[in-house]
Amino acid sequence: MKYISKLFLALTLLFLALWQLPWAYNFMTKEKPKHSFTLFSPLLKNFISNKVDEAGNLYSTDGENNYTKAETDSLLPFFHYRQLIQDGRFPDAVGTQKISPRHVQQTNFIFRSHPTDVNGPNLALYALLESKSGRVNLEMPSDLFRTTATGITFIDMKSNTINQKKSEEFTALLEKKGCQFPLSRINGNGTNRKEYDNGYLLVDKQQQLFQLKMVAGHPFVRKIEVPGSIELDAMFITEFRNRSMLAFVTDKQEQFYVITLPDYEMRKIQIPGFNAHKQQITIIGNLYAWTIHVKDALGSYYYGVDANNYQLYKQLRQTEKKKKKMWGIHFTSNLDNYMKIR
Amino acid sequence: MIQALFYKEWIKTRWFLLVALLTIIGVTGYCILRVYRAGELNGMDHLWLVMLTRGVTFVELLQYLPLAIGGLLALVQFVPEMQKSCLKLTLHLPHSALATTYSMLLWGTLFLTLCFCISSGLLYGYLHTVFTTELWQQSLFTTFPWFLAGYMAYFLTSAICLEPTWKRRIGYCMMSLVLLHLFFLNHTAQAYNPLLPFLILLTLLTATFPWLSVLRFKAGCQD
Repeated sequence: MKYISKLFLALTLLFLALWQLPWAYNFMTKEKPKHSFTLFSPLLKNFISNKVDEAGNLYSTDGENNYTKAETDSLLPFFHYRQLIQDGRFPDAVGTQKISPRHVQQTNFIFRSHPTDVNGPNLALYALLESKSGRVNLEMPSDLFRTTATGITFIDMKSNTINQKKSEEFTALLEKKGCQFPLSRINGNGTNRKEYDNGYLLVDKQQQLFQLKMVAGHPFVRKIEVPGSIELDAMFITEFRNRSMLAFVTDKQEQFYVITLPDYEMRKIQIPGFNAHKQQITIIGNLYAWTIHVKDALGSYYYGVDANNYQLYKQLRQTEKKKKKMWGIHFTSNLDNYMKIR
Repeated sequence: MIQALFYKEWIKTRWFLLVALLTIIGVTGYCILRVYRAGELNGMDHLWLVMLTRGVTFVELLQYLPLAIGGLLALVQFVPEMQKSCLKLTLHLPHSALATTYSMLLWGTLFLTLCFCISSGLLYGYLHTVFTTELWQQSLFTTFPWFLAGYMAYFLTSAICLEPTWKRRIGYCMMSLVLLHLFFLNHTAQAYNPLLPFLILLTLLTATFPWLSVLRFKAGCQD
């Protein structure tokens, strides 16, 4: 017992050293991240980055052509439209197409996803909102649903009891549309802090994709065709003002897709790759072009994408030279909120 | 012999046990009362949504209580042993020193188990009637690492108290602070679920440290 106790004490001290020493070293040597805000200009067909130097803000394309702040506002009219309106410089047209501030406001969107959103921990309960309530503001439902091996089950929140009738009605329609339980993935925005509701995207055990909504208290299910051999991975329902998109989707091969409305077509966004479990993404979109910023531990990748056909205009990679981290035991990660030995 | 040792521990700790038991029942009861009152005022559906969207567990008040009970129980049990040099007599009983030491530790462990079971039982008893499985499990699973921290605090504080030299006591104190910090690194509900087996193993490892201190005490180690 004496030797076992001594061995256990030694093991504990070794564990503490492998955990705390690398943590202390990495904590003390951590560098300030160098941020540069980069957007794709649909006018220049190039990226504009702002980098702070001694003289103040400097805006440039590829570090070559420099612009003043006011010039940058004009080169990014969709992002800086409020500044342009205030200065009386908002353009009547971009190219041949006439634009208005309202049109810009309607078509601009920002989408963000962080690996922690995807990797969890997340509760497997979902709020399905009424998508056609006839009211301006959305209201949270009085029940939540969970998915089971044989269907979906609604639980009334006030009484903590299963709403059998509603559960059967929704399960029956899903089955009628060809959905095979258990579901393998589900995604939606169960919040009333949005302008309208697109419901949930469901992937069944046969990798078939469905949209589920509640319309006037009844289920609405639509099967969405998934092209070829795509194995769906992460899904992100979007509820942007212009209502031209249903969701962003990734597959196991790290390809990125958008499901457009009203045709429910799944279209590939021509960027080299995006892994929602390991990379964070920000999309700043407008009528003409999207700036897609994919970021991971190795650096930032910027993609300028045509907003109409999702073809890649240009890409930019910004890598940061980071000091090598000391190896050791870690419990936390930027990729999820779990405590694990890593 | 174990019964006699348990009786000795009962005499030493009975008032602390009463206070600790009342405290954990009181705090758990207050957590339950908060859920009940919030449900009355805002509606139970609001509580469900708060738990779902913000990861609220309604048991946050319990976080450091098991740690405090574990640490204080070890102090109440072993400080008098060391101050009055009773440990020397205890170890000379016609019973192996190892069995004697672990009988005393078993007493504390059983009491902590009783406290934590009562707390978990009260929480389960109420929460499962008002919340669905996923939600009450979120609250209960979140408390598990805190209860494990209670056991570890008990074993480590026992090792510190039984240790005869101050140099090593200070070393144990520093080690204990870092080890116990591991249980409170992440406040996300259910974040510790994948780490629970490792934490249980680590807690079992620390249960052997009081024996090292006793061995050093028997060997007559001094500052």
